[in-house]
Amino acid sequence: MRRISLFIALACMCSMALTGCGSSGSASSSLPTSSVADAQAGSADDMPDTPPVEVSSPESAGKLIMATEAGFKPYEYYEGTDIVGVDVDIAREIAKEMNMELVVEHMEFSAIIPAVDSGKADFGAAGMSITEERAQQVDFTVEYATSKQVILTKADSDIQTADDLSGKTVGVQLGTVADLALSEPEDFPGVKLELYNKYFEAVNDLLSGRIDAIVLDSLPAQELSKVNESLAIRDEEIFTDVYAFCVKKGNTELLDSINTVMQRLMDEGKIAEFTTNHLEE
Amino acid sequence: MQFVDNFLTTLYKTVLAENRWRFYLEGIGNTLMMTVGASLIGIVLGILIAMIKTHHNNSGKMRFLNWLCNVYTTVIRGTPVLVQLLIIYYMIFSSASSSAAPYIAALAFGLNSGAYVSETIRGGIQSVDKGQTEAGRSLGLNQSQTMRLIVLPQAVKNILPALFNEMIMLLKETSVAGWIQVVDITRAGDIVRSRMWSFSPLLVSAVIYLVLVVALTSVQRMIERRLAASDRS
Repeated sequence: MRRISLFIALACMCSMALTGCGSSGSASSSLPTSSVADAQAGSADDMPDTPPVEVSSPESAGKLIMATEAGFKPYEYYEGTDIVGVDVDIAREIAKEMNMELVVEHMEFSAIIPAVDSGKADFGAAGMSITEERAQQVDFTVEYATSKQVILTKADSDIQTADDLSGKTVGVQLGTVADLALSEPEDFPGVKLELYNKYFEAVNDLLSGRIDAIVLDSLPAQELSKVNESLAIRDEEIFTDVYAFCVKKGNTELLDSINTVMQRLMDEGKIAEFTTNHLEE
Repeated sequence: MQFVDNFLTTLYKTVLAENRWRFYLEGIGNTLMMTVGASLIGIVLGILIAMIKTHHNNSGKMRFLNWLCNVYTTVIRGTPVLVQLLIIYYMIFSSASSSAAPYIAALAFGLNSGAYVSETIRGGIQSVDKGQTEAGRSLGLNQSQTMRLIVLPQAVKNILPALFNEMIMLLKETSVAGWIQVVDITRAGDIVRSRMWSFSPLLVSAVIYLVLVVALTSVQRMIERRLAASDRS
């Protein structure tokens, strides 16, 4: 009898937790943070200084929290101890416009949407492609970049096109569009996927022969092949998609603010400028 | 009713939709394989090290082996298991194929466990009264026979709770295997999480671990009952 009641109690506990998910603070709270306001000098030499402003605001008490995964040069990457990149530059402009202090939080890519959804972060900016499934969880801003998904492989590999991936072991980052696309066996038959947290580890395994190719966005692929001469990007684009920031569903106020700034930056050609800056470094 | 409805929908999305249970199933298989493999490696290593150390303590022989064992336990117990796992997978077995990852993980956890088990077993051997060894030797058994036939059986009984404790720890420690792309129960939850953008898979993973640990505990009870059968009471 005791066991049964224990079991029931357990089931109740779980069900409460399951349904309560997303609304409460069930996410890990110990994410490393880095305040971009302190980190300005080194990263953005072409931009006017934004002094940290103390303005009270309903959202996060004057702080605008951006969720990202900083292993995705040129969009977001670590420079010293600070996270910089195209997305961070855009986010800084947004924060300036809103008179708030930008705080960049680094987490696993797959944790970004839950973080935004649960309100732990105000918006997600991580070179994130718009997909139908994601759009059910969060609201996307206007598109600010187009990305090609390409195959990164060893220069001497015989893999040339997407068809050649069949029967091969392919590395992707967990939760990315490449992961989601290649997980469909109808579209990519015979592909064995390895899901990585970090591209660095995937590249390591590509070099040591554990995997045969990595599928990822073209700009980070260029950065990786620049560092490793034995790597090459194949010409064929597997598919193309567009990037946007995401906000919690229904947060139209923030969505509109971001959209306004983003549109202005695009009109001024600033985003292309940010991208060039970060690719040159 | 709304509550029940929500619960069932979330449960469906977390486990059944898009054949997601397959991730958990693969995860359970890998977690169990790693736990059992690591336990076996750990126990064999642990017994070996404990015997060497005890022998050294009793007779002063095997100085080099004893030193080696001390280095091993110091290094293993002094560094986190995740760091050890990454070093073993990426630096020592850097040429092994990715399909070997679960076995490399089992080896890494086994090497880790061995250091702890050896101390547990050493404690167990020391807990057996010295008179038992003396009695065995007086009856004409040699040192290793005394150890094998008289001291170890009694020691095992004393340390069984501690050994199961170690196994339970091990079962949960394997949750870091996802760092080297092994799909264990935690990683299975992570994968599902990355596809449904909710934290509910964590709870499914937690329940699976809990069930496995409860099962392990009942095995422990069963064995203890068997061993107690010949006890005077």
